[in-house]
Amino acid sequence: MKDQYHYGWAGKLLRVNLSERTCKIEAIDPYLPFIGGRGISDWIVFNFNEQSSDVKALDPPSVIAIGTGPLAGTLVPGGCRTNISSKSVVTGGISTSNVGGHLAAEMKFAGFDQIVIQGKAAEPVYLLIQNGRAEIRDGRDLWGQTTWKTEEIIRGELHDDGIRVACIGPAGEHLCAEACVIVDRGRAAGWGGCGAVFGSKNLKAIAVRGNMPVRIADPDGFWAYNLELLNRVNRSRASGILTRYGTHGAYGVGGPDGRTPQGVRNHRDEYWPADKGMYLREVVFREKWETGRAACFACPSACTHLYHLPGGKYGPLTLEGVHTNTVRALGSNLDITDAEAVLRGQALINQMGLNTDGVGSVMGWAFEAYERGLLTKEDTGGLELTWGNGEAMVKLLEQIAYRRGIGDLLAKGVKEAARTLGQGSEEFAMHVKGQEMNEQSVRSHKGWALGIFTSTRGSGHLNGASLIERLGMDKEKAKSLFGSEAVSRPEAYEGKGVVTAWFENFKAVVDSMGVCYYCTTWIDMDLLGLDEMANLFQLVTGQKTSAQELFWVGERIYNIEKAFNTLHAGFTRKDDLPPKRFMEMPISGGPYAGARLEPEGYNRMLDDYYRTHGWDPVTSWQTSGCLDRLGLDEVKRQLAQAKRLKE
Amino acid sequence: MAIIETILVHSQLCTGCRACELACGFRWTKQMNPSQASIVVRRDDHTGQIEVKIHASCDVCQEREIPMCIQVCNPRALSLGRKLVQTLTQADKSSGEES
Repeated sequence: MKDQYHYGWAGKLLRVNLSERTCKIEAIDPYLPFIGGRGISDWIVFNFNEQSSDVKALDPPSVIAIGTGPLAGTLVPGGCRTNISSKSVVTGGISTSNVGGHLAAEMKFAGFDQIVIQGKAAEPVYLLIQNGRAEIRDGRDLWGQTTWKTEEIIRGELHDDGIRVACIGPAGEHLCAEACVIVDRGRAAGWGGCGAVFGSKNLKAIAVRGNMPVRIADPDGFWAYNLELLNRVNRSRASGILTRYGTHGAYGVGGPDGRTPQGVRNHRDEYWPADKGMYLREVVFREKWETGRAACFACPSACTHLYHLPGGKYGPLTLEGVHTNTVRALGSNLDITDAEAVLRGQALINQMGLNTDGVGSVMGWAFEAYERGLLTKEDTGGLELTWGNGEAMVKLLEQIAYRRGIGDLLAKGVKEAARTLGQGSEEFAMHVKGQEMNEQSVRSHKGWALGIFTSTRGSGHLNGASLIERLGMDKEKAKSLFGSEAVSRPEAYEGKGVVTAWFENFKAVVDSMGVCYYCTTWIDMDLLGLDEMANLFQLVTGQKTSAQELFWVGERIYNIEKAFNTLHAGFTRKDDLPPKRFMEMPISGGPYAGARLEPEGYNRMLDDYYRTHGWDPVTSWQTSGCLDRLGLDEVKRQLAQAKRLKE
Repeated sequence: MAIIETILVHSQLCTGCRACELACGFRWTKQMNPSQASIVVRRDDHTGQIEVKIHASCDVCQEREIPMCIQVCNPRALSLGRKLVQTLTQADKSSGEES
């Protein structure tokens, strides 16, 4: 190692081979050109898979990298994020999943920036990391337990309630495509079936505890600047909504009156009338069941709320993590208005280690298949999968996690389940590149939609999907930043390709720093942008950088993911197109009545998007010029070798 | 009796983010180091209830107008207050020594 210690980074990478039961510690330095978190994890996954391109996500040799960045574990607002990268169980391409809570900070205090895991343990194990040391421990007693119980047992065994646990539930053990990794009981790294990757390795949990410092290069400068940023968060209206209403605020404030269109009945519509939405408004949850708020590490927003259901059909129950996606996945998309069933469903999702969006999507598909008579009561073991049936939803969740009955089919993920059932059900399987979707505003907000469909990890609005269409932007600023005044108009197709590409690269920087998207310019242009990231990076690490340089690194990271998808999943332009439903079935009511994605407009937007990235609009492949500019010689070599590079 | 400044905790407002621990650890070490903090935040996962403990080592950031933990506490779960404490007089101390 160059330095005795690092500023910002913990300085170490832990490499675990579960087959050989070895833990090796390496210096993080060779990976620092990719900053941290997602950047470093992606590069590790990319390089491993070059050597073993035929390894599937659930094969023992596959690699999974869990990492955080230099700003995590500090006072930076939202400096709490952990990234998990691997080959995706559902798309065959890259999976990057991001989770909050207190894990990232604890990893840094325990002395590690990255944990890279390969192999498969002979029997269930968990990984214990404490103050620069790591140990593979017997996890047989944990196998079969829910995520909540797993955390409880580990903390009890080690007599320490400060231990942070990332673990899988029964869904991960049963290799469900919708299995995720749960952190702190209610936070999920949901995408790509990463919980199933843990399960395939017989890895039940990672438990972390540390009391080592994260060093700051310029302590006084950092303190003063950070207070300024904290004030900005306090002044931000968007942050205020998150604090008061949680992410559910996006639903509670705008959903029921139709201002924020939501996926309804398996996304066949995005208008849910107020007489239904009123039962699931955030204010209902707040007045009836909310007991407090629960923040991720050092986060001023605290967007997660705590609920207690004292009795009734599903109580007593204490849980956290009812978000806007929950209410859509378990509510509007299944036409369910039973708020208590939604609470029970969310608790089960956390306990079982399921991805809300994934199961929401696959259940939407199952309910529609039932409506069409493609699935019958016999197939479902007596469950009536009728729209609005909250009780059936709750039972189905458990069946999926344990692969019981019809759950075995649904645990394949929506794309594979539809392929298995056939009979035209593929037409209404809502996914992008194989990754399930659970979305809002797809037909009405064109740029938002583009970001969902171009995301390297498949569906998902947490990469390039921009909120500018909702937040608005000064015309001159819009023109100078993105070349078009139209970027803040939801219905416009102009300029959206540029905005989407910009946010994709920006998000790669955010995830590599270890910061939450909710504290950045994604939700409010006054919060952490590239300039602020560059300032923080310098103050924390002592290394010089600039907004331009960071953006260039973000672009490199996104291009590594894109190349991984081209090489391993063979994605082309057709994989960046929306399911037909969004083009053929317009919104039925509300202020966006009649809205849909027009094919001509969408394709024009997509052309702009590829050109902005420097990719070929016909194939979507990367070009030599783009990769040369980014200095990604190895990526270029592999793409050229596979004959998937546009010269 | 004497009146001294103290950190008042309104635990029902606390979100458990631990920014106060970071700030306090920073005050002592100039690093992000909650293990060195005079304030400790713990959440009971079963009930969601939060407990905040302030150790005797807390000097309410004597050199500052506002203690650092309060500066970073966004939900305003911490505030500066005063409390009455019993002080030992010279006579008390002497009698203590004798006994």
